[in-house]
Amino acid sequence: MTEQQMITIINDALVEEFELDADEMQPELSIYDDLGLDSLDTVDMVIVLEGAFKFKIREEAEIKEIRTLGDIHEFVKRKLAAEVN
Amino acid sequence: MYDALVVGSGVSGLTNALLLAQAGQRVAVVERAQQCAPLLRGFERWGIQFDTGFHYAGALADGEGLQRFFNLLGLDRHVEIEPMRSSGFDRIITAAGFSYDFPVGGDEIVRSLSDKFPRERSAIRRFIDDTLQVSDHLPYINPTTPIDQLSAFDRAHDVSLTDYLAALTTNPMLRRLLSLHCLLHGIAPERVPFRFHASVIGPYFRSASTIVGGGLALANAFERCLNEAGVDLICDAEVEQILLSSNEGVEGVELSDGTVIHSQTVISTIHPHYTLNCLPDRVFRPIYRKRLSSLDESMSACVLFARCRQPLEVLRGRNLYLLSASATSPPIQQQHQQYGRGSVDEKLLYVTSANAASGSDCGGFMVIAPTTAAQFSQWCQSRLGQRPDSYNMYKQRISAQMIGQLEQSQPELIAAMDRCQLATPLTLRDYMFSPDGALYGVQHQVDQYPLQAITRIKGLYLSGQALIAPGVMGAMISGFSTCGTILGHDRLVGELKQCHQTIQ
Repeated sequence: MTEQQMITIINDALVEEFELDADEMQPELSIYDDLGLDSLDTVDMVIVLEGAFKFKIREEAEIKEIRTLGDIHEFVKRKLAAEVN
Repeated sequence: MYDALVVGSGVSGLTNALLLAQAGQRVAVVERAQQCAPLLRGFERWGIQFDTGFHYAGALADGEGLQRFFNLLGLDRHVEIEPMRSSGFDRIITAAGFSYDFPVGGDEIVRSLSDKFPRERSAIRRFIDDTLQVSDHLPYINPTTPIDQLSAFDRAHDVSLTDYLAALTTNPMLRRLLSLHCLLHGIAPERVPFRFHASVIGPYFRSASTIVGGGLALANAFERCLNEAGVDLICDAEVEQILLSSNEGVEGVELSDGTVIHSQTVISTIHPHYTLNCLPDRVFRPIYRKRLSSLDESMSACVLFARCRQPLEVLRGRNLYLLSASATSPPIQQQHQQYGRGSVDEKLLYVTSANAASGSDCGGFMVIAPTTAAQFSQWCQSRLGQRPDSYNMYKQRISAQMIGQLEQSQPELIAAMDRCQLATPLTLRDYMFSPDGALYGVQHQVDQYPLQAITRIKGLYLSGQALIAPGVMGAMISGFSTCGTILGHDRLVGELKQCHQTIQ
């Protein structure tokens, strides 16, 4: 999977499951201030990512550090790289 | 206009209502049945009061967590707790003649079970210690436990009971024996998180009690406390819609007859599927809707209700777990493979006594055989009182099979029995408003994130067994947990600590 494919999977899943605007999915945007998620959505976001990539997310501390869409991309990238190794 | 409306009058709904009323709120409970807590209440037939919602519980002895809840809510003034046999409240008997009585007390279980499995002493010690470590520190049940000790992640990523036991012992009989209590939450050992299992089972290892008069006595106690607290109980009222204001906060509920009841706080204790059905589609995000609508159900059962000519000594203060040589109904392999769920031990018959209604000197008992609704899928369109002959014939076959199994192990029960009737998963479905006739509502399984009391809709809260755990204890903890979210956890825990001191 290329990085672009990965980003597309993440963005598409979030757009669908959180009813976001596909044109707004810029990596520098805050998922909370700009995309309108709140702390209640954190678990749902984890479930969406687990469903999209068929992995289990146990990195609670890292999830809590996520602020921007780009942070999500980086998190998934690290997860996928760790799985390959 | 109420300060809070509670939808559903099961144990969690009534706990929520009493806690909010005690905090000075004007509260109403809306229930679709004719009386509150229909499942807890059970039913009377042939002079016997049959329990459907409550059989026995842990943590009800003096100074224990559930007793503290009863004390804080005022229920303890209206119910009498009766300890079960401390030398053996659960008797396990296998077809091969093995038998074991579960005694009260962790050390006692280790000692007596090690006598049966001498080479497994350390495994048994570990199991009991791990179980009690969880159940002794449940939030609210133990007021010194921090409320947010376990995150959603910790709860979701626990090992299954099966995997836990596999790491503990290679003895298949011991594994099976330590999985039998899955009957108390209705989730297969392969699916149930170990910590969840321990939270439900552990309290019974500390103390096992019944309530004199059963679930009906507890339902009546709740009703008296509601009256005393000035809570309005609105029965025979089905919520059709949860009403939202233009800024998507809660405004109240609309009943099926068009009546509107206003409140800016609504606590829904009904099955999460039904909560979703009461709301417009677009108010929750698609992922949250999927979470609520895709929850799996716990096991269902065939339940045989029987009357006998006199009370039975073998069932006094004791339940029987009978392991038969064959399953009551053939396992549905295809379905289990499809969902990868496994099932609660299908060769198990659980037998518990029923109380004679006042003025009767008969005895009674119930036999629960775990099964799936899929077993009855060909009749799933039929409703109570209108089932086809083929269904009734199948029912007779299952009754005969259960009676046959029981007779092999406990002939005196069958000899004393003079009336019996079978309830199937379809009966349970139509009687408890539970999809698939699940005994305990939705199941809590590994890799599933727990639901929170708070929702995206301002003023709408969830409560009930689906959030915490089944049984009177799980339902009451969920009541404390949801009200803690509304009123402040510290406040409720503080009140429980006060009770703690008073009792001790």
